[in-house]
Amino acid sequence: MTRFATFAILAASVLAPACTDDLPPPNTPPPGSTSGGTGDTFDHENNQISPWDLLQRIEVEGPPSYTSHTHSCPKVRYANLGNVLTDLGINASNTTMLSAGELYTDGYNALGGPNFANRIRENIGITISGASREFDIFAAAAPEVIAAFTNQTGAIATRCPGAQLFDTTGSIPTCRPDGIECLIGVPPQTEHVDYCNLTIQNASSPTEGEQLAVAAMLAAAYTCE
Amino acid sequence: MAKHPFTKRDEHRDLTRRALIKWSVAAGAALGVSRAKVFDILEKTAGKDTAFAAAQNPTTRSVHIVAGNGGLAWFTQLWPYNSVAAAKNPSFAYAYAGQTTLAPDTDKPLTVGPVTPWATMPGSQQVTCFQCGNNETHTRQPQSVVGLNGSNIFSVASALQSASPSVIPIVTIGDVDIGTAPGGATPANVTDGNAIVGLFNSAASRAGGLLSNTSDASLYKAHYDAFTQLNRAAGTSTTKLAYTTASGAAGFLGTNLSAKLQITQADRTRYGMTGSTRSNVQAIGEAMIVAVKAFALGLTNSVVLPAMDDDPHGAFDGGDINIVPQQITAIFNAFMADLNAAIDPVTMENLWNDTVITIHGDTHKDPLTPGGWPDGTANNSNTVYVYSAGHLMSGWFGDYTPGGGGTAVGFDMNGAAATYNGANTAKYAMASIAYAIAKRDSRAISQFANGITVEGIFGREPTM
Repeated sequence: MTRFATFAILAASVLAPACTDDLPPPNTPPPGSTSGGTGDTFDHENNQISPWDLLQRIEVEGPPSYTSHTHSCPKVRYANLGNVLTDLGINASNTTMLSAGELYTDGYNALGGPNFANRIRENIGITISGASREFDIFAAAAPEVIAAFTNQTGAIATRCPGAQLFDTTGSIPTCRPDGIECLIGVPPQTEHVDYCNLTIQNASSPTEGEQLAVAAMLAAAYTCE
Repeated sequence: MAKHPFTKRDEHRDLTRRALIKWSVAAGAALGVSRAKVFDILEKTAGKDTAFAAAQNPTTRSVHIVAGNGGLAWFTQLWPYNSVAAAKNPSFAYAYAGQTTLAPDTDKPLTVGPVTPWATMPGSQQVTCFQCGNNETHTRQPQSVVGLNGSNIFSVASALQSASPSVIPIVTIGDVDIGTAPGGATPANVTDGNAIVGLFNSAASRAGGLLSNTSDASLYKAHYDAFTQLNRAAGTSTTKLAYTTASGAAGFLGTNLSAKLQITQADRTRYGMTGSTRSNVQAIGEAMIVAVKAFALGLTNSVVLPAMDDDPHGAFDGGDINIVPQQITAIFNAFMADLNAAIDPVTMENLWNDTVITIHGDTHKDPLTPGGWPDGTANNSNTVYVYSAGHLMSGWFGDYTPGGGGTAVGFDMNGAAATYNGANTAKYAMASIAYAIAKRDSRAISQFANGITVEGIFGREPTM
């Protein structure tokens, strides 16, 4: 072997590792990743909904253009809430402190009522403050509603003549479907009656339980307009 | 200049860490794991730095004071223009001529006087003052000092703060206008500071109320959730968010916060409120008292309130200039002391490090003419004051020089003194406020700032 060849082998053995050092680092993206490295790809959002899940949802619910119209959940508008209260036999103009009527009147802002003077339209989205005030009104209204059913007074007498919320013949009251139907505006499912009975049984007292059941059913029925 | 590979690497790691924090907290919320537990897990798996970063609120709270109808003029007594104060001329519209000093260790010169709030705080924590926007004399809702590329800074604040969940994102008092911004929250509006309590308090949870018993409150929430599941549309994707919010409200109904938020006599005493305190000053104090309590409980992130609204043309002539600024300062100092005493239950940090305060108005009135304190300002200029919790450079950007009957000095995109331009200076100032609220996160404000660079010019460099 010539001296030149020996030198060439030695030079190659030194330079080859140096060349290897200059190579870019291996760029193997992890499974499912859309990013190779900071220098060559844009790391975009990679956790979108599965197309199969989306397809199934569209089959069940319909396309977004349809669902957003039929299944949207805007809050109950301020004026409409007043109508609901009146139809349940509640005096919406009651000024007694902490009565349902007073909470309704004073809750105009929390309920997102329109502010026409400042050109602010009624907020149609459900917010914590708005929903909690609405539910607060229903909680305060529960005794009034129960009394209206029991005594068949106010709008209840004309809307649902004879309907009663509770059967009080037993030691613990039980819920009646006709009363629940009048309360929530749609025929109740068996589960409505079961949950209603459970509420009464698990509350601190049957009277509290009746009120809790009415408040919870009203809140659930009128969460969305 | 191209970024150094190490800088790029660090930025990439920073983004990755933010993504890890974001998704960890989100996953924790979805799985019902407390934030504290999520931080524990992060500390064990991703290290102390990441856990520490996760435990921070990504944005600050904010209090925005809109001193319309000339009310902003009072605040020139709190933070005088450097050149006006330096002139020590008793015939100028600054009541404490010759009694001022330059605050030490501020980034830009800042003059403090006998009624400057928070004057003893470190220089880096002192206020940032912007000579910016246009004079909009006699409006309660100035626009030139709240706009940021078509969005309103108050609404921008709520959009940024959506990263820090709260019960009511933004509360407005009276007729203040928070405009709009992409992603901005809908405000809950109340008549005064006292009425904020009512936003967070339910009648049902009070003594004798239907949910005053804790077990009944839990039962109500559980059965509300059960009843909603019987609604046919409750499971659809388009109603999911609304029902989730409503479910939160059902749980919130059983919580009585009245005692914790109510303004007490002790609060009033601490804020220096007496029978002689002006009603408009008292109104600011009441809003601040409730705001700091609501911040500490994580109930809201932002409060926007009107202030003063008294067009004080006769302040110097009638002697009010020796009364009202002291009262405002007493309230501001008490507010800061409250923020310092309040601890964020999540981050365990003092709220004064986590709250931005901004003051806007229609006109600061003529700083050179006390008699009748005219509304006109040189170059039709205006001023915005910002307490940035140390996120912005402290001191004045711009000035108001007395020479030649008064000249407003503006500043350019690099923060250097420049010919006054109301629109541009306001943009830089509003972008800076957004930057402070976003805790120096330039990416978070980029959609609003639209190319304005705050970092390193008006705002301090990110620490994370």
